[in-house]
Amino acid sequence: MSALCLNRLQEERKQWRKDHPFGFYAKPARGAEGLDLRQWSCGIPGKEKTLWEGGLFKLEMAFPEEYPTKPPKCKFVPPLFHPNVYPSGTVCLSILNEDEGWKPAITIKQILLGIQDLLDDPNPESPAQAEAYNLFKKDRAAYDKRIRALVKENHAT
Amino acid sequence: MVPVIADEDAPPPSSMQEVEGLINTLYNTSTTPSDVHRINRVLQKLQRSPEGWLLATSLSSSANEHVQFFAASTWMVKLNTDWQGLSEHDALGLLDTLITWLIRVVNVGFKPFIWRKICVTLVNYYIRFHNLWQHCVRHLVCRFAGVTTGVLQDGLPALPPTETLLAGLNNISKTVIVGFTRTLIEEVGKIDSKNSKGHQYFEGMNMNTPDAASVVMAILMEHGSPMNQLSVEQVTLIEEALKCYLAWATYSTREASQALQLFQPITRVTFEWLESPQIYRIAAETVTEMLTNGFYFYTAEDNHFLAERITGVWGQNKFSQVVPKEHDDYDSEETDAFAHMLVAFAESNLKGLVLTVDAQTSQTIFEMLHGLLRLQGYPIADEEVSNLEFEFWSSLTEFMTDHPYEEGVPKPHWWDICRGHLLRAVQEYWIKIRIPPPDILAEWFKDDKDGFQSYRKDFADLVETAYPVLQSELFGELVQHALNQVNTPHPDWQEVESCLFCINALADTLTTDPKEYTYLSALFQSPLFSILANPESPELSRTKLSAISVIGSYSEYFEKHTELLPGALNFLFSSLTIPKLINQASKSILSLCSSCRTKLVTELPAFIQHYQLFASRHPSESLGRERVLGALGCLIQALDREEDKAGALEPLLASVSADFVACKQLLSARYEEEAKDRASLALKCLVSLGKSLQAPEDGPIIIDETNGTRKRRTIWDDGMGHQLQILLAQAIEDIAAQFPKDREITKEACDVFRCGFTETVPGLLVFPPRLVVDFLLSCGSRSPFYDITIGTASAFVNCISPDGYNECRRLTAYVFGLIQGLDGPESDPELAHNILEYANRLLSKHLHLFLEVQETVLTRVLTLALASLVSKEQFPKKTACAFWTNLITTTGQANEQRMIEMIIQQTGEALAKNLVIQIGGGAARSELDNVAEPLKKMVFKQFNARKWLEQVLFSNGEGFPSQKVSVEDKSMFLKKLFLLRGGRGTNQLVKEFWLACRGTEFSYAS
Repeated sequence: MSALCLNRLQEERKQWRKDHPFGFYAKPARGAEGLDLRQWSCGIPGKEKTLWEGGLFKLEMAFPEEYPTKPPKCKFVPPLFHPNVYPSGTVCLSILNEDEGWKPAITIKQILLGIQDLLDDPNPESPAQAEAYNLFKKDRAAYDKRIRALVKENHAT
Repeated sequence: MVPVIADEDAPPPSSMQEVEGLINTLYNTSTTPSDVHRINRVLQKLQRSPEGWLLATSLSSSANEHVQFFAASTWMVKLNTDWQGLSEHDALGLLDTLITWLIRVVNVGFKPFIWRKICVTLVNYYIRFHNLWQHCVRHLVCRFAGVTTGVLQDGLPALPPTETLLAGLNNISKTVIVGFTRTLIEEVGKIDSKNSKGHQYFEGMNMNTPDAASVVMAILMEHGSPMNQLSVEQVTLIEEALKCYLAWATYSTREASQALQLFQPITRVTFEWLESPQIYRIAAETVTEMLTNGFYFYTAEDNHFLAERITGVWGQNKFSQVVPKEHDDYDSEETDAFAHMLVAFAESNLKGLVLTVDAQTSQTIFEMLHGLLRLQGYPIADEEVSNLEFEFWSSLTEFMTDHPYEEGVPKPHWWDICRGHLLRAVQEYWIKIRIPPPDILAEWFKDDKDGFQSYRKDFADLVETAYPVLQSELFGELVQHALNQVNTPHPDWQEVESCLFCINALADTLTTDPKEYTYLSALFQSPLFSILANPESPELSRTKLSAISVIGSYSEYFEKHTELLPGALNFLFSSLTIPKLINQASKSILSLCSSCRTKLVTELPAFIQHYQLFASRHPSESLGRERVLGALGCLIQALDREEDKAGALEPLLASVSADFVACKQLLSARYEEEAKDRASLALKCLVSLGKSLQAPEDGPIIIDETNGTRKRRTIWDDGMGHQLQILLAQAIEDIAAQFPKDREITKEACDVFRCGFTETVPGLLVFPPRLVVDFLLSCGSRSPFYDITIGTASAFVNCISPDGYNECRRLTAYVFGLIQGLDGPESDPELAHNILEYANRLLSKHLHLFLEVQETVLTRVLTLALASLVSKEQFPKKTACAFWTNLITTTGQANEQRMIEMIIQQTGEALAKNLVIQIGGGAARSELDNVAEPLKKMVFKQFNARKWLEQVLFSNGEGFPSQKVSVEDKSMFLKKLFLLRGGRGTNQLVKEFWLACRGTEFSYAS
């Protein structure tokens, strides 16, 4: 791993431990050879006072060798029913796109908070999966019902 | 909302008295918001007018504080908006006015908010006219000392030194000077020093640094022993000087300015002030801030001095005062200040502390850190201090685990001592995470509860991080603690719970040390679970919950200790009787049954009984029932004989049938919503059952024996199993038909069928293709949810074997038949997308089935795929791209290949045209990679590709969407495109061409 990438990830980890938003978690994966700083497992809670409240959604963040020049790839595991999440689970969000809003100064905390915002506030301009997108557009009541069931299945305990 | 007031026409005040009157009303607390707004607008207009300068000058001579404040703010406004209009002469005049005014305000004894405002104005003046006031700090000191007048600064060096002049000033004057010096660096520090203008300020600050340092040093040194009693004025002065030091020191670490050398010597003086009870807090905050954000500022000697102070007589006394041993009261702010400083010190000196861990100083620091963890009270609700230390202990652990380990070489001395400290810290925390008794919990606010939860999770993280260092010793201790309690007549269940919580946190971290399993055996064999199974003890529910999680988390252990499995599962099933525990208990049941399926088959009849009881008691408990059925499905999957499987499934299907019956009863009683919920629950249960009946991923692979020999027929082909399938398919069709317009029911019904698609061995939900297609066709005819029915059809097509080809033809006829009802992709993008998805699957999996459809039908499919490429809808477009990519690259037998080639020759020109429309600016940026795919394949594989592309690129404006690229640009693009031959660089080339076609004005807002 490049020194830049490693230093930044170590610093991110330190900052996260010192101060992280309530209900979230984010930690490097533990492999046979110790910590793998380039692979983090994270949890994003649904925001209070939204349909998503009470849920906790698992997400994996993979950092490329060129991080922080390039953004990490964020993937819900298992894939999440959401208009801006690809069928593979990958999150479609401008700040995570190298060609769009990504800036090296964006922290892991900001990414996770950004994704949390996205949960209840999908962006219909960049749909990533047909199922959630179409339901969101066509039948909001059915969409909401799906979200409620999703929250129940992924309840933060 | 701001009220709309028509004050535009209000006459401006005609005299200074009137203006002063307005200012007084503005700051009067009883003035209504609407009046404040109105007056503000009138006054702002005056401030911005050309007379603003004069207005400020005359207001500044008022004896009224509000008016004076307003005068300063008027100068700020003028300096911000009109400063360029001032001549050098006027600017120098203004400086003189401001300084003279400041000195008068101080001498008269006006309140601090006035002089602070004037200081900010002066700093603003410096930012605008730094060339006219280069030695601002020195000049201000000289003016206050009365050794110079006016604004000329040439003679300043000849005057007595700054510290001498300061000594003659009163405390308030000194406070004002040091306040100005601090504001100066704070404001100038905000200016970016990277550009040439910013660099001038950087130089300006270097020029003022010696005087700033003299001011701060003189003030901090002046008062003799910090233990002296200070007056209120002195306290303010010292505090201001410490803040000023902090601001300059921070600036110096950021900008690497001259301040680094000149302020560093002041550091040790700031440590002295820790000892003054009046200054302690602000001094500790200053030190904390420097340790946290200015690592390189403190030298090794500084850190050494600080360590001595913290661990010396003063520090020890202070510590015993802020961290009392017993339940004595303490001032939490004093404690917080000490704790922040101590933890910041320990963090920034981690390596030094560790390597000298047995030295007295380090020992004392470690003891103090432990002491803070023993502070009375619950974390977050009562104390915030222990929370601070998580980072330190985690960093310590990482330092230890990073230490290179060599076989046969003992760990260094410090390693073992640090390990001891880490273990102690974990033990100390572990007391902290105990859940408070209900009466205390009831008094907590939501923030306290949330904070406490979060604290527990942070601790779980620490335990996990620390485990590679502490290993089985920690695990053994946790288990032992829990068991000690269990074995007493009146166990402390909170303590047991906290142990179980930690044991749970370690589930993924255990090593291969056999001792760990020994400890786990001791835990699982203990009476803990039988005591907890006692339904008479509702106060145990929290502990029970953690115990349930522990069992689920250690399913791997149970795989190896099957003798304990029945006991654990009985405990879990008994927990299903308590509604609060159903969620966690069903999760653990599923986890255990899934991992230990083969070991549990003998228990199946008993578990089925448990389930039946549970389902009858909690018929609407959807998630719980789904999971337990899933668990039973795992055991059934592990049975050897198909007859046994069918036999075991019967009672489970009976329970689902009971739900269907209940649903119909509810429907006839017109409880539609409840009926739907019940139907949905039953279908979800079937899906869960179906998924668990699937062969596990790590199970044996059955080699397909269809070649030559006939497949062995089973009860699922024509026996009782097959009968069960027919009944089940009928029941699902029947219930789905009751809710034709309900999306959820349609989806869940389809999902039941989906469960068997990928299976290679027969089973209950591996329906014969005819049943699947019958269901999908009737579903399609009554429900408008094409994404669900066609989506399921696509998944089905993906997996069918040759026996299913005829059924597949029926399905294809239905799906492609839907195109006739479409008026282009935009009329129903979802349907278009799903049809193309289906076509794509058929094309890639069963080419001959795709090519054998009637020519007219095929033409419709191709027309839809072409139209979708230029549609505004993203999903049809992306699927169409995949379809064309597939079509161009697909290979088949000779006759198939000829047909494909014919199709491509017929559609090639139109395809090229539509692709060019997209890359010529028609596509959205996020679609470019999709659009580039068929283009790449076409370029690589099709001889006619160049001709087709040329036609549309140079068609004289027809078809090509952009006027922004020249013929040369297009030629260059085409040339590069063919040079790349469909290689990876094509995507970038396409992106650049698209950008050029859209015009350079297009860019993402950053």
